[in-house]
Amino acid sequence: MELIEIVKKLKKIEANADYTRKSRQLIVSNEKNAWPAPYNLSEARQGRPGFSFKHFAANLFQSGSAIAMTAMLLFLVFGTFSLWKIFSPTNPVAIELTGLQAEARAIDIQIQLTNIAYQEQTLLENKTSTVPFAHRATPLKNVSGVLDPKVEQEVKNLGLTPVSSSTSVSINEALDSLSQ
Amino acid sequence: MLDGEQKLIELAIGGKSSAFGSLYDYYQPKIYRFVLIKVSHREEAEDLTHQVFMNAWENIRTYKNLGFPFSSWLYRIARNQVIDRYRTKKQELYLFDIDPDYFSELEGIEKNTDERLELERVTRTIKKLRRDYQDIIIMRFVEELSLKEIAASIDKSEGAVKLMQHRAIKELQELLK
Repeated sequence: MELIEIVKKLKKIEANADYTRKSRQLIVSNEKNAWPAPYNLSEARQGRPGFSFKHFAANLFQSGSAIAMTAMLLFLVFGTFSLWKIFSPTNPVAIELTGLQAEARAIDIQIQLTNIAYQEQTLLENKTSTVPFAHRATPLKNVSGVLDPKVEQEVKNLGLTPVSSSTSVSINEALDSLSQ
Repeated sequence: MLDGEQKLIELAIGGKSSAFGSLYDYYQPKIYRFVLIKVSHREEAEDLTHQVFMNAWENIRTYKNLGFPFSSWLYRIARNQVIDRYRTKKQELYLFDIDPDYFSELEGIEKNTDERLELERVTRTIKKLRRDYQDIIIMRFVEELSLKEIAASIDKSEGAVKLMQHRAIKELQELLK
């Protein structure tokens, strides 16, 4: 076929010998996993020389300085964080413990034993009385320990000595006094 | 295919640049021709061809012999390079953009004026075909690749390539009338 024969003539096309030589040199000299090629094809076209130590050093310096700056930045970040942690004036754990201890001391636990005056007589009277029990058992002392005046009078009637609220009396002492 | 090609490929994969240099010597003219006919611009064809082999050398470890030759892999890279170049430039390749130096190269091929003019006309018309048809025409009739090699290059079946080849020639004849 004539058309095919004409197309086949295109096989005679060849690349420029100088371009081929430079291109090959660039590709083959580009060692894999090593530093990049010193220059590219466009620079070769501009007539720059082949391998240039200056170019190689410049590439090396650029790569090295980039790595150094990255390392410095990481050092600054982690170093600042560590220093802040060491020289921090406040220790959250210490504060927490100190605070708890202070709170514990501040608690003024005053346990007051209320005086229980056992009145046998009162109970006996309450048993025989027709007054409902809820009304019979009058509190002898209020929470603060002050004797009710009515109670105090009843105690005197029984021949007993009323106990002052200012003095703390143990339950045993109170029972002893009542048993006399 | 180059004699001892498989051995050269293995050495190149191992990092031996001289082995890749031998592959370059054999395939560079083919790839250059293929790219030049497609782009019709000598300097651009040189840049693209250089990039094809640079990419091939950098990615030689990814090449696996899946039953098609090394040339198919190179042509595949070359096709992609041409596509990417024109996608980046975002321009259609017009016939008027053809480098005059390109036709001076044809002058070296064909001394006879009439035949040279005919050659120029055919070259311009090839560029009017769709991309796949261009590739098949160049690989089949200029580079004389087998249907199997072409199919591996353009990622189509051999039957599809045969059919596309027939259609490409028919369309080229229609355009030349």
